[in-house]
Amino acid sequence: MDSSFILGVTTLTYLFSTVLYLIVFLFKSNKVGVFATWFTLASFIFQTFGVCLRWYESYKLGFGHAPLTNMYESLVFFSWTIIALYLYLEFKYKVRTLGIFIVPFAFLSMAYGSLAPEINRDISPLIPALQSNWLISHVVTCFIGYAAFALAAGMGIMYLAKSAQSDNKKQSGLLATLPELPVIDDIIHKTMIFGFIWLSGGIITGAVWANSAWGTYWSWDPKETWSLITWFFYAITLHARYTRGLNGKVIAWLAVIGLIFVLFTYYGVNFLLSGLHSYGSQ
Amino acid sequence: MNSLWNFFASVRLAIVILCIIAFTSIFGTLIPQGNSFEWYVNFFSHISFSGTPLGPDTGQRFAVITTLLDIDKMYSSWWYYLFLTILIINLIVCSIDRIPTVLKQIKMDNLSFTQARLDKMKLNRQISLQNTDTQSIMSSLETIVSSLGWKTQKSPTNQAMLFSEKSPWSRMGVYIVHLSILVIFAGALIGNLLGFKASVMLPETRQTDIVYSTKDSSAVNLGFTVRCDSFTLEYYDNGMPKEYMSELTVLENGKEVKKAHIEVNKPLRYNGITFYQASYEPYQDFVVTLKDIQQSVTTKLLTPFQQQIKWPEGNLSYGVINADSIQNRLARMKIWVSDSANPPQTFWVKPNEETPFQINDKKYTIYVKQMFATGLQVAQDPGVWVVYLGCLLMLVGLYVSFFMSHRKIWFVVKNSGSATSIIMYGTTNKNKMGFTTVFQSLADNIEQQITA
Repeated sequence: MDSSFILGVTTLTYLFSTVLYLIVFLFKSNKVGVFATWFTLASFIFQTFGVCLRWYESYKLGFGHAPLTNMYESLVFFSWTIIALYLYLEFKYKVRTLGIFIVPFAFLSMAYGSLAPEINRDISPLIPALQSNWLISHVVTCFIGYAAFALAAGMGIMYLAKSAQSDNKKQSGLLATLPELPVIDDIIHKTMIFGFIWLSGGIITGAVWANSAWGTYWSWDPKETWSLITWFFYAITLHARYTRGLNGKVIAWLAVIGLIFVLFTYYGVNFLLSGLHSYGSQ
Repeated sequence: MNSLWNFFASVRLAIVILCIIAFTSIFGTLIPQGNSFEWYVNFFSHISFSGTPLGPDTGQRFAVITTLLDIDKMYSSWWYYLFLTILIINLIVCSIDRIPTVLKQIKMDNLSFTQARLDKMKLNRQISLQNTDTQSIMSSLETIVSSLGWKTQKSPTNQAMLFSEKSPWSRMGVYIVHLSILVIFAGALIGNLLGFKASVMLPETRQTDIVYSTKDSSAVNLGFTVRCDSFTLEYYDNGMPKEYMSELTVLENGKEVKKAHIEVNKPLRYNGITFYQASYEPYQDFVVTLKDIQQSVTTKLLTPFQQQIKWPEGNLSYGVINADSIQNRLARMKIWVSDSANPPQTFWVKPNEETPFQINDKKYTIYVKQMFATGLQVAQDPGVWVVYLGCLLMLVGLYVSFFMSHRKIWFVVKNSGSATSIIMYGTTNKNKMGFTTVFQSLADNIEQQITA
């Protein structure tokens, strides 16, 4: 059993988690809900084991490094962080109906990483630029931020779905079990703040690393610029909320749009624009 | 004047200017920066929408617009700096405009709140009591509240009121974030004015005391000399580069003062100037180290390919007459040596390996490596620590402004005939839901203890 097998299986288990949370959402079964939570937690532990094993395997290959160095590994870590934050959220708010709006992101990330032909899944050694202690802190901070923004977007979709229903005055079944709109609004706001702080940390660790590797903490490389654009986007959103009192639908939409910026910073830049982070596309 | 102040103090301006900066920044990521006019003509000519390239005429037009508007170096263009300046003025004015109000809120006399004002607070809770003695209720309430982590204040006039608050200074969090952005800008400015970014391509065995500015290629005098003793390139088994490294020596007035081994991510610092391993350039030439073991004399000579070199102290002539490489990596070199008395010898050596050889009974070793120039990035940036301080300040400010809130609780003891009760009122400037939970559990706790 090697790490690629385990991570491949994780893709399937997250698909199954998605199905379970869909059932929870559709049929409001509490039994399935409890099972969904435990199953997702088990998948998460399994995935953690897979990531650790991949780390160990890289040492056996003679060039050990944390599994955070190419697009595949980042996709795995992205899904791992999403599930970690989701489980925390579910634990804190005791609502399982959130699952169907979040867990699919983790599945899609794993599925894309595991199946897309352009993604290289080999464990490769590190090029000189990546051999730095800043690697782990930079990638981890960035991806906690990205995952939090994914959660905020999932909650945004949930908010929009629910508010569309209450607009129609059809207070019927399906969306009624979702948390009340102000509660969702509050979760969106909190996850967005959480993501914003970690994104700030990610940009800062990246700047410090760039300075220790090249002597410039900021060089307007496309990745840097896009991370700053994303940072501006969320800064604007937070200002709009605090000072102009925007909330509800507008913020929910902004949370969803924000994820587009995040995904472009994370993924789009590597494949569409050239720059210092191009190794991330391998 | 007043309207100008209000213009710069508005949050609407902040949102608009942030939107403009974010939007315009996109162009610099789509259009590669810092190329020549001809490059842009070519670049735009080949851009195609729905299959057909724009062609040279349109390409020319776009290139003219690009250079005219400085989009080819947009992040240092006058208009981008203008936006940043507006943002900075906005941040400063906005903060100066609001800080007095915030200070007032921080230092507010909460004990002089009238009952009418308290009654307007949405968050309140009544705790009914058996005890009717206001004084004894107040003193036990005071003990309980402080034991639960809320420091109390008493009103000098109103005997039936207690007040407690937490982290009033957290209201300044957002201004710490604003300040941190200004500090980062200040650091960047210091670096721009007092520092430099430069580079130099330094061949092995050579030294330099000037480097070339990245901005305009002008010469920058280091004030000391740096020599490249050697450059080494290491590979993984799969052919990927593993490490680039240089051995550097710093000289002052011809004297060696510092030796350093640098790698990517491990620079050399000297006199406030930092040397980063950035790139390299391979040469056709070799650097050959020869050692005469009996006499224990050594030489290190620059040896062009297929050229005879004399080493008088060792009484030898030698040359690299052939070289094989696999996948652009040097695999082995053929050496020719002669001491003029004996017939010349030829043999193969591996790069970067000390190889012994013998002429009659005289023993030598030879060490051959390909010659490289090391590409150094050279930077002096006295503003970098200011920038880091700003970053730290930003994280602190973000934490304070998002995770801390100014929470206030009032306790009023009310006697209405036979019934006595404590009424709690609470407000917070942020995270109302979180505070409601805290408020209610605090009230539960007090109720439990005071009625016990």
